Amino acid sequence: MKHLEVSDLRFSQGDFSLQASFSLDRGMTGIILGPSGCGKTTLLRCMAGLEKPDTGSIMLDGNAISLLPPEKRNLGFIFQDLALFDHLSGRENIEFGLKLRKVPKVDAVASIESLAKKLKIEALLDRKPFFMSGGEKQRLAFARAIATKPALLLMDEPLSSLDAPLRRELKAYLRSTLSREGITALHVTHDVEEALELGDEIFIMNHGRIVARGAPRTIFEAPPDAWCVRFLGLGFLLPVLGIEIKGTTSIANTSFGSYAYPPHECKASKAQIDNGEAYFFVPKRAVSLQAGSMENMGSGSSIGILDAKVEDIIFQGTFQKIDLLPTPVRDAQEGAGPPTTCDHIEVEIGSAVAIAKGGRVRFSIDPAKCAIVPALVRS
Amino acid sequence: MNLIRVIPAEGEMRKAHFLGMGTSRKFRGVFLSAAAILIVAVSSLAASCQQAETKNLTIWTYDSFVSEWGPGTGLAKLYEQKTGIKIDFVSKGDGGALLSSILAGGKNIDADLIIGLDNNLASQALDSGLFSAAKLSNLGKIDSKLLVDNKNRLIPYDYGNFAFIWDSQSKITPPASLEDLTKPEYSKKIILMDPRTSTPGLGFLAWTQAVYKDGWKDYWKRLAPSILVMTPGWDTGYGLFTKGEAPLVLSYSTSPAYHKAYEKTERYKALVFAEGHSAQIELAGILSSSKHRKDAEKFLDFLVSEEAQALLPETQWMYPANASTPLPDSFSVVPKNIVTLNASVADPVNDPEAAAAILAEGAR
Amino acid sequence: MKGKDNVLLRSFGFLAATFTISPLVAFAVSAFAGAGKAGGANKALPLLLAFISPSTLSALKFSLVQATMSTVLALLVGFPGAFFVARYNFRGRRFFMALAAVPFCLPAILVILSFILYYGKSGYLTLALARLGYIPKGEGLLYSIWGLVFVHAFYNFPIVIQNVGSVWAKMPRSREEAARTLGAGRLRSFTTGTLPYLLPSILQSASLIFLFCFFSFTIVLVFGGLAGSTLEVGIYRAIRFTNDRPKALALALLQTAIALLVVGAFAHFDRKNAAISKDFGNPPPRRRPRSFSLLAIGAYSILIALFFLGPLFALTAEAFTVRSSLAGASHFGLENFSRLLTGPNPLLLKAAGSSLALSGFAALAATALGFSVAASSHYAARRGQTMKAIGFGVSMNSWIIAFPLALSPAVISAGWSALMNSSGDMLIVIGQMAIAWPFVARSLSAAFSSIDRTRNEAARTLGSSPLQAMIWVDAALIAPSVASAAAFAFSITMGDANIPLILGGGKRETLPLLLYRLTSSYRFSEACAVGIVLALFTSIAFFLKERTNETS
Repeated sequence: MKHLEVSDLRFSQGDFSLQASFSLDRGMTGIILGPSGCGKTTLLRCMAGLEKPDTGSIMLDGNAISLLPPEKRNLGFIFQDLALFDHLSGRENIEFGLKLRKVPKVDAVASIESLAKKLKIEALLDRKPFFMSGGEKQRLAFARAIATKPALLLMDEPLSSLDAPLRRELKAYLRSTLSREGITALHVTHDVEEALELGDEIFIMNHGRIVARGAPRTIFEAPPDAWCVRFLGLGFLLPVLGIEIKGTTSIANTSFGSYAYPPHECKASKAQIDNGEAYFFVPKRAVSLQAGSMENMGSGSSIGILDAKVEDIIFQGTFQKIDLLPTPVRDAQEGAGPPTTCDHIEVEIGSAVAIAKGGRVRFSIDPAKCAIVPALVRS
Repeated sequence: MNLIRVIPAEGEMRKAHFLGMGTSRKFRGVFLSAAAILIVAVSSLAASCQQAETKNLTIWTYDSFVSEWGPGTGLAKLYEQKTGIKIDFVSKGDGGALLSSILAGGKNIDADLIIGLDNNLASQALDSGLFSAAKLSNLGKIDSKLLVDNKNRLIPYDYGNFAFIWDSQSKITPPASLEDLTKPEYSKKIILMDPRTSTPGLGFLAWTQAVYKDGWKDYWKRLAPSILVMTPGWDTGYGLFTKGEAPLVLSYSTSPAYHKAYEKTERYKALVFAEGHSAQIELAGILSSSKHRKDAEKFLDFLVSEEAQALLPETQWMYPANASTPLPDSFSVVPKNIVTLNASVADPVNDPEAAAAILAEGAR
Repeated sequence: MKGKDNVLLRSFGFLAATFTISPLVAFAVSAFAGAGKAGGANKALPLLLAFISPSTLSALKFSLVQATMSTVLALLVGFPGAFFVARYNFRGRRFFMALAAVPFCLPAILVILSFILYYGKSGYLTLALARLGYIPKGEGLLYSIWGLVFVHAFYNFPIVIQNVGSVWAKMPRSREEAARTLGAGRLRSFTTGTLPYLLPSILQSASLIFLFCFFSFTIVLVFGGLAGSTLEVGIYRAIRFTNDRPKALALALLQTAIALLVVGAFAHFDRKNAAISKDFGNPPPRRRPRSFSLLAIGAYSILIALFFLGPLFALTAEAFTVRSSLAGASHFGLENFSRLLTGPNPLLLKAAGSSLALSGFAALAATALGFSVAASSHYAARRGQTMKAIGFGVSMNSWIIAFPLALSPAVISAGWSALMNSSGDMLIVIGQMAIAWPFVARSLSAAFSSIDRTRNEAARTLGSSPLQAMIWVDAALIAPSVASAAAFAFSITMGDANIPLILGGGKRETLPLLLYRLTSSYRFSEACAVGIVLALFTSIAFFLKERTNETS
């Protein structure tokens, strides 16, 4: 049995409904990732006992905690606004939980001292939150939450209110502390990079459901649907007009060319394809830029060289992000069908490459790395 | 993030500079309108100061005199019909406020006559030296007992005895004397007015001093358990009485007349105490600083004439000072056999305070 | 730029101070120079003696004791209401908040009458209880210090609901929840996570209620009865009856000194409250109450209806009761109203018209002045120019606004009286404006400090000039608060009976003045009728204020 097991947790309020089942091993950090309004904070609050779910069970370390009030669940919770007690000093904030557990004074003092040393917050112990910076408050909130050695640490977008350098610093801090202390944690965020950096396991939520789960690498390489592709920024999608099976080869027809893709990578059903709800997913690594421009190209062949206009170039330090708008190969006049426009394509190239905005480039797609994904997976 | 400093504001400021205002158009408008209001105020002040030159008589009085149910409007109309002189009544609040305004105003009072002082406040008013003697033709018709001032600076226009009003629908027997009021059967059954803040209260204090002389403090000690409440003014006290809070209230012997006239009931009766009652004599006087002496005298004369006095009983609910004035029907329920005592408060500064303190002691 | 703002700030401050100080100065001058007892220099000694006389000290003690007791009870009664209003959405929630209008708009005589009509010997409640077989003992309990405290508390508690409730509603719950996750039960989480943040608004409400009770005059005398008297009574008497102005001055100074302490406390907690509220962010959602809380809300509402609305209901019933004819029989009817509305001189109509017009103008003027003071001090503060006063660390602006609340009504009346030798409508408007503007300034100060500065700056980045940003963004943000402050000023001036009397010579009969005249002429039922109309007008204004607050 895993350290944390959540079974069929359901919560509904008005139009919104949440349904989740998942589990987490001891010492792992699970990330609940999703756009705002998807229900991730609600899920976290249900786990903490701050919201009452309609049904479902939560087992933590073998104990059923779903019927317990929050104070008895032995959790740590870091709120988005940190929720520090402004009228108490740093030390008193941390002491709060220890006092409630009737930890003897001597042990508590020792605990706090060692925690403060480990988390480098000694200077904050005798200060009040008003006199602390954003990052310091964050660390204090963290210290307060783990001081009582909770079985599970819940974090609600803990880094969202910080500026970039601080965020970087604290991400490193979180990663090292969580693993060193062996804390099982559930971390809610809408930031994809954060999720990838900090998560041992990622649960992607949308509209109150977990739509994808797995290790970061797994999700990255094999997203279950078009929505995840977009949300995670994994690549771009071409609407599929139809599928042709020619012997052992499966070919996807799109307005930007026809591509033979690995048959086992088709995650959409026939019905979805026929309804125009399937997309040809081209991951970033499947795109390579060709040098030169196109003056006299015929229509796209199965080799898949496409023409695109450079819409924007964004300097990212070590690389450049190029925003491309590809030119459709098939004409709109060829019958009504899926729209011939598609997403902008983001390609990353080395910063040394010279490229002009407004210019035209050619790029090719390696279909072996692509897949067919449906518009949305309802699980 | 301080964008305000980033974007140069100096340019904008210089545009508005010529108005001498630093900040926004909005303030300018508000400041100007505030200034406008002030200007209008000052000019209206100035305008009203011009009034002194007109032919009106300005009379300061207390509020119920000029209210809808008081005699003021009727008297003014009558007088204007007779003489063509317009009367301008100015209300100053209650009797105490009237006195206070006079004393504060001193020689600068922009009024000709004062109507509404009473015998208890008279000495202070006279000490101020603001009133001058009046020569009236109707003076002879006034009961001589009412003439508080032998120099005729303050003239009585009506009077009434203080008396306890008894609710005949209550279950208690009516008391017959001040001493009766201290009996245990009347415990918490009497509503009094505060001698520190009302003229009836003061009048009652004078009453007890007239009857008990030096022993008045002991009387008040004995009276204390009978008092339910001491209200700051007559209106509150009488209001409580009519709402049934207590069966006895200090008021005027003429109060039953109101109930007879308007409510057609004789439920509330004025009690006559054989030992006598104190009285409130209401006084009017001409200010020495008046610019219309002749007219003021004429009006005062008019006030004590039968024609004017006839208006008083059913507006003031007091007896007219002019003895030959016929009384209306409603006054039939007012007891006629009341003996009026010559009563006044010995030490108007300290006695009311002492009386209230005695009651407070007794209530503990 | 600095200089200009200072000029502006100072000029509004000066204007405001003039209105406040001039009657006081006039009064003080009259105390030492006026006709009456011995002249000038001899007044110094009586003044000093008055400070230490036993009657002064006992009046002081009583004033403090009754105000404290009343405040405590009001807090106790109001606190549950604040909780319900903050956490739940239920029908009548807005009504609860709007109840806060009552302390400001009903004249004292009506309060007294209504409580008597309800709790008195022949009152509705007493009779109803008798029907049920319960005859309460304690005759005259109403007329003791307990009665006084009860009346004060049940008159002022809505202030707690309004002030504490509105802060509580906006307060994020995360600290309380954090305490729960750390292992604290409900009560502990409340005391650690919510109470410390609620304390400033609680203390601010307490200061305000204390002030009202401290200055209470008629209510104290009637219901406190023989228990004692307050400083205000002493002042009143010294001015009106014994013409002992030095004594009045002494008492007034003592009273104002204490009141200033309380006002200082009020301003201090008000600021603290505003500072805390600034960091609140989005208000947490309110729930529909579930079974247990619904029951609690219901029980509380019944309590309020019984003890607070009861008297108001009794007042309304009395307004429709016509007492006439034989043996004191009475019946329900509209005669009280019709007598005042018909005939050659429809008093109620005229009074209503006068009240509406005078209060309307006064409210506009008060809003203009209050807005100017609040706005100029806000913008000056943004540029870092608050004039700090010593002591409480509270800025000068707060003092200018708060000072008028510490003044004795009797002294102010006497002062205006001494100041003005003439009368007129414009003076009434000015006098009423002088009363109302501090309240406007105070509520707008709070509104200004909660203006979201970033929106103004966002407008600037989009290209508007400082003026435009100020006008379009700030003005738009502050407009609802201005409207509601104006409504508040309107309510306050409606309920005032003194100014039209003193400054208007009694010629302009407003609703409160009409009421006062009716009670002085035996006409109590009609007085109740006028009172109902008065209460209606003032509460409509207040209700509108609440609506704009909600939508803003």
